[in-house]
Amino acid sequence: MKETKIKLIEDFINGKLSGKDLDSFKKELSTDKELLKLYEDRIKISELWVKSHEYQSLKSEIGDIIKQENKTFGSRYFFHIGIAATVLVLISIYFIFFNSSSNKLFDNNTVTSVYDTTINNEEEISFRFDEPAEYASIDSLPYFINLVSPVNGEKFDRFETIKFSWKSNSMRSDTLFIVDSESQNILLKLFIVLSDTMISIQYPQFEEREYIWYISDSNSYGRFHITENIK
Amino acid sequence: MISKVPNRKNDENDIISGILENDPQTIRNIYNTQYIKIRAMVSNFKTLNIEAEDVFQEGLTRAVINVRKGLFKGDSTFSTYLYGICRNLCLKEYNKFKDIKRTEVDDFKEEISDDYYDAIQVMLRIKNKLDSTCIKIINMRFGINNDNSVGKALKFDAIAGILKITADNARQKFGRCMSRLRSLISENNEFNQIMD
Repeated sequence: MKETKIKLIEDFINGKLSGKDLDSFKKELSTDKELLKLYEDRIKISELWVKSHEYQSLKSEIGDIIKQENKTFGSRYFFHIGIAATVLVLISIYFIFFNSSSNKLFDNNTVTSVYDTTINNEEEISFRFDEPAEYASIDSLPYFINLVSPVNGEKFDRFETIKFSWKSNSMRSDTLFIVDSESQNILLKLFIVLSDTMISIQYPQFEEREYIWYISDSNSYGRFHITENIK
Repeated sequence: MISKVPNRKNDENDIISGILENDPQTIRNIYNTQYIKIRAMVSNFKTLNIEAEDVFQEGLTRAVINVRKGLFKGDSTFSTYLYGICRNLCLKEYNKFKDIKRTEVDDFKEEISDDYYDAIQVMLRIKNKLDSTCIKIINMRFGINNDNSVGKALKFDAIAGILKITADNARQKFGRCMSRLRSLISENNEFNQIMD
């Protein structure tokens, strides 16, 4: 009996019912509770089946795009590492094999730091050079700076110590800017070393408003609020 | 010396129209500008064993679905909206472990309740228990094309033509697959609650 009803429902959905059969089916839907429940469940199942398919397809598309982005970043990063390594090797070869003007320097096969040039006599000028490695440093490569906190408008009172933290693969120094969000005036410029990944400040002169902060080469900024008393 | 504040305003119209037009570059831009904040938020849930990328992927999927359904009202920026969805996902997971009654964050409310996405997850788990032939036939009968686009549901004679069988055979196969599907659904209490 149930199987007959299921077949009738499929015929109805298929558009196979017409005339008296169609009228009879519609009448039964209003009187037969089991038929109505089977019909409604059939519709709900098909709608949810399609929605779950759309959800899964979309999520998979988004996942593929994210994977592509991660791959592109990784290959760009390693490409630049490769370039830097090649440059380093070439410079080292240059200084080892081709630069013979300072015999005094290379007598012991060592390199020492430069201070200035010294003139020993009229014919001879001797130079001392910096470590070749200093001319090709990992810090000259593209690097990332990702701000960690505060980024979402976290609230502090003006006497509180605020810790600004970030992640970076660079060892260089940089500048952290704190800006009034409304007037866009720069309030503070702080010297930082990127490898430290954080700096804490206490600045009672903050006023009760929103500020934004960023590091000069970061591609995003963070927000925080100073309130009078949050405790 | 740098003295100007960089212009970081998102062009909301570009984001929304990019989502509606299914533009992959929009998704890339959203990932590149928003992922880091969401990763930082997920890392605050120290006891949860969840990947920030999974949270972001799920959150962005839901946000895009909501935009395409016209449910994103624009009361907040898209980035705030996405952040709120991701945060709610983490809270839900967190509350499961802590056995706390879930409360939504006051300043953010999703337009589509969790029940909708719970139902989808249940249906996906049930689908995984069907064989590929059943999935293929049900897809055709429910209007899912081979290229995964959604169109008009196929009648049995059209399905028969594709599978190189008779229309009656197609109907019988579909009937058996639907019977299996109904049986899996009836075994699943979670689904029955959703269906009711």
